[in-house]
Amino acid sequence: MSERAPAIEVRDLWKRYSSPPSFGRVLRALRQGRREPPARAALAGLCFAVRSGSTLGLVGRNGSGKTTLLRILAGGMQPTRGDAVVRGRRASLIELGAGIDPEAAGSRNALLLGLLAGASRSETESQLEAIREFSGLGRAFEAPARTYSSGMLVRLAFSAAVHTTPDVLLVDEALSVGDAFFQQRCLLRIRQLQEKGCTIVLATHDPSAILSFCDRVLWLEHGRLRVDGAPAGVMRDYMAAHASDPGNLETELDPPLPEAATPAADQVVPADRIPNVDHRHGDGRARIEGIAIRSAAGSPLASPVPGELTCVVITARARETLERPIIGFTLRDRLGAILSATNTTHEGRPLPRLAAGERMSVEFALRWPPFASGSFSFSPAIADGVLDRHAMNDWIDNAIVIESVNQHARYGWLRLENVAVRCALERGSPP
Amino acid sequence: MSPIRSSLRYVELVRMLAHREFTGRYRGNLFGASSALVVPVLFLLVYAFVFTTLIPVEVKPGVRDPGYGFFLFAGLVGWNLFADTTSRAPRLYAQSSSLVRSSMLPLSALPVASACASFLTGMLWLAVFVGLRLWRGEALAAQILLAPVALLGLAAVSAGIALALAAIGTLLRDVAELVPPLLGLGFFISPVLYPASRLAEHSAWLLTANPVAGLIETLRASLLGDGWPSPELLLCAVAWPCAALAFGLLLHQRVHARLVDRL
Repeated sequence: MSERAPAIEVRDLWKRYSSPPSFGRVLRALRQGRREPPARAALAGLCFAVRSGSTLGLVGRNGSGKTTLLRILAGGMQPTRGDAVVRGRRASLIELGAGIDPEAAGSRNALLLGLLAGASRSETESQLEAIREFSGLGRAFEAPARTYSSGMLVRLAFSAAVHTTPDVLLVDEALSVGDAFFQQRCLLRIRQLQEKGCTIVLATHDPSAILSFCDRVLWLEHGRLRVDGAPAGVMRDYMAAHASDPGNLETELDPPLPEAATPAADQVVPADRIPNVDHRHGDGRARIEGIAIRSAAGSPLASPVPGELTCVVITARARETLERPIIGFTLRDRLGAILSATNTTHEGRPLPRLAAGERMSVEFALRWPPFASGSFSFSPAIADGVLDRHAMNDWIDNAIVIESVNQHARYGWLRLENVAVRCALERGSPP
Repeated sequence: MSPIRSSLRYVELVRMLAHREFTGRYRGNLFGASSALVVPVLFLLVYAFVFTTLIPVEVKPGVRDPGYGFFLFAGLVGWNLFADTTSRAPRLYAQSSSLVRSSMLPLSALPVASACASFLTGMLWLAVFVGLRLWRGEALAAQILLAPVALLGLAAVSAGIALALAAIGTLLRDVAELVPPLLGLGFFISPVLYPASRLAEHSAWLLTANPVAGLIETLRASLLGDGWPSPELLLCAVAWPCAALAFGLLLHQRVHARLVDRL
């Protein structure tokens, strides 16, 4: 086949949500003598094309226009200006439970979803058994959809959508619902669709999904295209920008990260901020005052890659004198499982006595392990005593969260390192 | 998609949506779809009581028809089809907003499917009418075969007006509040409780201007098998469905792009 037309072409796409006319607002506008400002554009002049058969990731914080873009691509919404061309049959997983009739049985809903996606009735009917099989709903497939849990709804919607043999599949966050087993099955199916040449657009906040599926990522911000590029680079910048900004939807993100002054070689620059406090406990004889994750150069590090030097800095101040202070942290994954923990005593660097009012900063420098991509949290603590008998002075759960990107760890929790593979082949006639 | 395939798909969608709407209206009811008949039969009993004993209506000048019950029934079948569809229309899109926003569902399929569902209810009523007629030992005229056609015409008028109302009702939410009282007024200036000839004596223009008058009159004539409505009314019965559908579709087309935003 010669050069194929792109599966998706978007030209100067604008979308403003209009608000309903209201007499009261007109009066107010007249009294103030000026027209109302137009609504903020949800999409402001997007332009891009997606090659047929490729997978495009969409990232951006809430309100950046991802869902609006998907809705327009799905054909449910009209753009205010510009146009979006989608070639071929499209299936969409945008809103949970969209088009599902709560009173009708799962099988009937699957038929309707198939029709909505553009498949014919007979085509969908012939797929019903496969849909039931794939969804794993079993007997519930014939029960009314109102009896379904949200996970079951996703199973139904996803199964129906992928069995319509779409040319373009639009997915919005939907994969994050449903249990782990079904997610695995979905991911497998998405891979199969990719191999069959289906074009996929995936909007998600999950960096590992982007890294493992997408050929290209668009980073949207305030309805504009901020970066268009290869997943690894875009995600790194994206997460760095994310970490430096606590998440006000109105502020413009601007990434120039403040470069901290290069510290003297043996000086630890104190951390003076606690980005997050999920839960805090301790007797209060000392308080954690800050935690930071820094690169070797001393600048804030939001997304370390495996092998990168990562410095965990914890600053604490004593309110009463601590004879034998211990400072440490616990590292958790996004599900809260403890991956590791360490402290100054454990590492063989017992700390000196800390008098009331004194402040101490400790830096743990480590090589970031080859964890799979994901978010990781640090919970710092200060205690007084010895390893197996101490009083907890202050403990903060999940004080700082970072995102790590690992392109090489495709399966499981981490990539095995230094794996040597040997192989022996024995030829012979079968017994 | 070729035009033939896309129109086939449209028909298929309307069929599924109509089925969904029809079963949805009565699902969970103890008596299923037969409960669709309960409320109208109650209305019928009350109207019949009021207008045969309290305020007798002359069906033909000078004649108090003993068969007023059937007369009323025939009129109500037509009126209810229309009122059922149009009263639901203004909120129709808002109720399926999640469906509409993120799929390629052609919006207009919803009001059309709603009219189809009302048509099915109407057919159910016709069956009851025929059953009652036979039970009372009354003959059925051959004209009765025309009744489904008249009902189809009513469904077309309803679909056209529902398309317009669904679109306007989405843009201006106030419309949903206005439709029920307007339908209440419409009921009394339509030839449901009385024959069209009574209205024609006073203000004939009300009959021609009424989208359903001609159709209800035709429906009743074919059900009761007694003569035909005037040629003007017959002409109305043909012209109104076409006009309403054309108007509804055009208006819908014009505002279509703005509808989804308001959901």
